[in-house]
Amino acid sequence: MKFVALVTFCLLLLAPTYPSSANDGGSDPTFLMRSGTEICLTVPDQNMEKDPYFWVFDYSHSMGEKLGRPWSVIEPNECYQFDKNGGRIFRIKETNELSPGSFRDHSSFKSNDSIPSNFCESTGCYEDRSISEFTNIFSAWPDLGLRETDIIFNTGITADSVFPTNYNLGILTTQFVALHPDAFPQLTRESPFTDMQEKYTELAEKFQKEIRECDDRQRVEYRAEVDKESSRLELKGQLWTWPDQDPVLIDIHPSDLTYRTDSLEILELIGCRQVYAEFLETHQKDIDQINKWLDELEKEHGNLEEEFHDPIFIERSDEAIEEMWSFADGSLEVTPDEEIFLSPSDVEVKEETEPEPEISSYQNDSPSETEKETSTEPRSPAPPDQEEFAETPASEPTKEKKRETVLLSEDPFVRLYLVLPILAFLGLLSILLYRRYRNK
Amino acid sequence: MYFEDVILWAFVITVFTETFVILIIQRPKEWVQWLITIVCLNALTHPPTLYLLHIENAPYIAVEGAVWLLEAAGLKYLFDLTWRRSLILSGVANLASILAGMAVRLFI
Repeated sequence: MKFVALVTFCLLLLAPTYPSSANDGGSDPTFLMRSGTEICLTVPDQNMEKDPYFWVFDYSHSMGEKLGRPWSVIEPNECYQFDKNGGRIFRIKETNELSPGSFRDHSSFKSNDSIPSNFCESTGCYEDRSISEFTNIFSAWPDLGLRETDIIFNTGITADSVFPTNYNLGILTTQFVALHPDAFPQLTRESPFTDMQEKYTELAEKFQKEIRECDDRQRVEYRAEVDKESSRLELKGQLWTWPDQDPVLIDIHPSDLTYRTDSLEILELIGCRQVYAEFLETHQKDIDQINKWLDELEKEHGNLEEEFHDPIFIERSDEAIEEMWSFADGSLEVTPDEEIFLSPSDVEVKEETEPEPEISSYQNDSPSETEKETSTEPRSPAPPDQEEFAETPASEPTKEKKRETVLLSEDPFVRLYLVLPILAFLGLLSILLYRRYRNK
Repeated sequence: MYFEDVILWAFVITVFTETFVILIIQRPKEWVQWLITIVCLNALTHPPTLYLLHIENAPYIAVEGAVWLLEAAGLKYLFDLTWRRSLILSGVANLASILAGMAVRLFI
């Protein structure tokens, strides 16, 4: 009995080592969710506060309902989540009637309300950006409509830059030709071009799906800054973070939203080179078939780039094709530019923020404690072009999110884990029956 | 660490440690039967425990206490042990698995 008491006492001693709200107990109290990369917008621009304007992020209805508030006043270095339904950013001139405080008090609004219908009827609101202006990244799809994958699949990889076809059949082939068939030559409306387009699109869709599965970035942060001349937000780049590797900062051309890092480098960066190699191996016949169709067109029309100009066909050099195959088979090392890598000391990591208060707690005009929170760690010297970039903390997933992650997990081991109690119960019952049978 | 990995690692550590500790203390002749029973008992208690602690944020001591008693009851009825013996086995095994879990976390 003394021993039992000792064991109980030891268990009780352990109690203070565990927080009352359970977490994984490690140094990082936040669980990471494998299902889905968090996509958000940050304005890491301290000058924003000096501007006569302030900005408000108007969430999509779905995100508003998820977060329990319809909008948030944009504060430097906070990350504002968005989903496939996007979101809108409003630039508002501070007046007696409209102040940031007006937008922080959500108590009289529903989580799916929108800013224009509640604030902008008289004057003072300017829609600065729709989030789709930042996320309308070239995709492999043959239409321009935003699909779920366009927003989630934020890698900058384009099918034409990784498919080793003899001609670069880029976005113009897959998108514009499909959308505006009459604007292009007759050959684009006939076989074999249409067969080729169909096959190319099918391959692009498959590739997109496979890359999404292998992409394990924890978060993609869109980084925008206030343009001093126009006072509008301009996209500057993306900060990608992983649970177990250094973050990277990818520059994006603001004019056409193309990435400065090329697709093969991105494949290496996100750890999907093997998936790319397997994809090419599996679909080599399809690539050959596309090249065969291109040969047929060449026989009929001569050099396609010369004949139809570069919007549709851009001839690809043998070296460029060889580079893709060599990258896939591992004989070519592609190293992303070192400048994009940020060591953990280059980025300012803020302490874990508490979950935002309930809607009813937004009753005053001053920023909440969360919003006022500043860095707790001294920032080490960073290169000048990285001075403004800071990593915002991952937020602790909600109970619902955790539950959803476990119950809807596609991991076979997790699925087995979920049915373990039933299997174990049957196992124990069998053992009991076996023992009784044997004892008779 | 990802949530799914946390769950699976926690289960593996618990099963391994508890089995090891109980078999060392008890040294049963029918060790295969004991091994299967311990794995089954853990498989029965671990998913609900994890759900309560890590998703519902239930009080730690209450949940661990319940697991201790449940596993002790299982050992008692399946192997005709005394309450004292089964409580000791279950308690030491659970304590060892908690300590092993904490030790593992220090290295990851």
